[in-house]
Amino acid sequence: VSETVEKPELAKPKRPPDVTGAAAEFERIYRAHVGEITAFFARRTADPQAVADLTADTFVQAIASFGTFDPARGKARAWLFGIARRVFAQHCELASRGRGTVERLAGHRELDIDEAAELVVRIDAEREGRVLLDGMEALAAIDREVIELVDIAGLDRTEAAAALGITSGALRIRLFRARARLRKVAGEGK
Amino acid sequence: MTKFEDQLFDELMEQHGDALATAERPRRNTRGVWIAAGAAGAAGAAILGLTVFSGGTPAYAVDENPDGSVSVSIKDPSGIGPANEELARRNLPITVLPGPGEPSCPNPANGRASGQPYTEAPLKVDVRHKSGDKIFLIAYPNCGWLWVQPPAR
Repeated sequence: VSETVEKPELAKPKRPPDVTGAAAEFERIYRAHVGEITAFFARRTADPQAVADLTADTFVQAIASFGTFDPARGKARAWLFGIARRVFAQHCELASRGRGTVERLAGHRELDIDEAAELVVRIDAEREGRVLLDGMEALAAIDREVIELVDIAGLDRTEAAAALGITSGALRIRLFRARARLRKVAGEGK
Repeated sequence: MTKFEDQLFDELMEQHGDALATAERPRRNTRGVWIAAGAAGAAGAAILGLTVFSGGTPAYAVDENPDGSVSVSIKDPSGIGPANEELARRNLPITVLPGPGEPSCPNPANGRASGQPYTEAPLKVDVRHKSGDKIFLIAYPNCGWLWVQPPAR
């Protein structure tokens, strides 16, 4: 006697009703910028699982602070890069204290093969940026960040200033000095 | 979108969607509700070109104007629900309500509210009112009029 057992279809995760329209607004922001945020972490680590976890943490924190994000006062891109910076700083802080397992905000989810492969491609695509960042070790952290956000990630100066929490004027000065230092360091390296 | 990005979004919604569903978004700044588009008004004529209906097009239109106002058109009552979904999606403080039947048709001459036939030029609504209250557009299905309920003073 044979019996066919039908596999139940996996239900799509249920979403609560979008009463205020915030979920739709967040989804637009997520879809517009998740690639850039993933790339930001792919320039910092070649571990696909770490890239996935840090990207997830960034968007969990974004949801937590979404009520205070006002698009009229700043761009979503700058807001997300600001969060990503803090998430990475927290990650480094915990790692430096010898905490092998970083406490996850989003809950650690193992990537499947397809997702890991996608992230490996992304990490590979960011190799040049990663090499450039590594080559800027002689620069102060803030100088590296200024150059990365403007010259690698492609943020405009207003966005980069907002992400770094400094004024546009301060950003201009730092960018000028950082580029000059980088040229000097590159010259010394020849 | 990659599979990773799609999976992550589903996971975020599953675990944190409740927080988003009730998140209050910052309101836009505002000042009184006004109608720029009487059926034959000059302003109405100016924005008519942005939302012209023809056969087979959606039963509504929502357009955000460069001056901060919003133009809303309802072609027929079936457009009320989708128009509200679009207004909510854009986080605009406007809701279209189906009004009562013919005995209560609004009188354009009473001066208390402004409106126009909803098959004509879009109603242009200024959403920058300071109170932050919702603006209600009332569609009178049996009269064919779209009406603005002024905010309470």
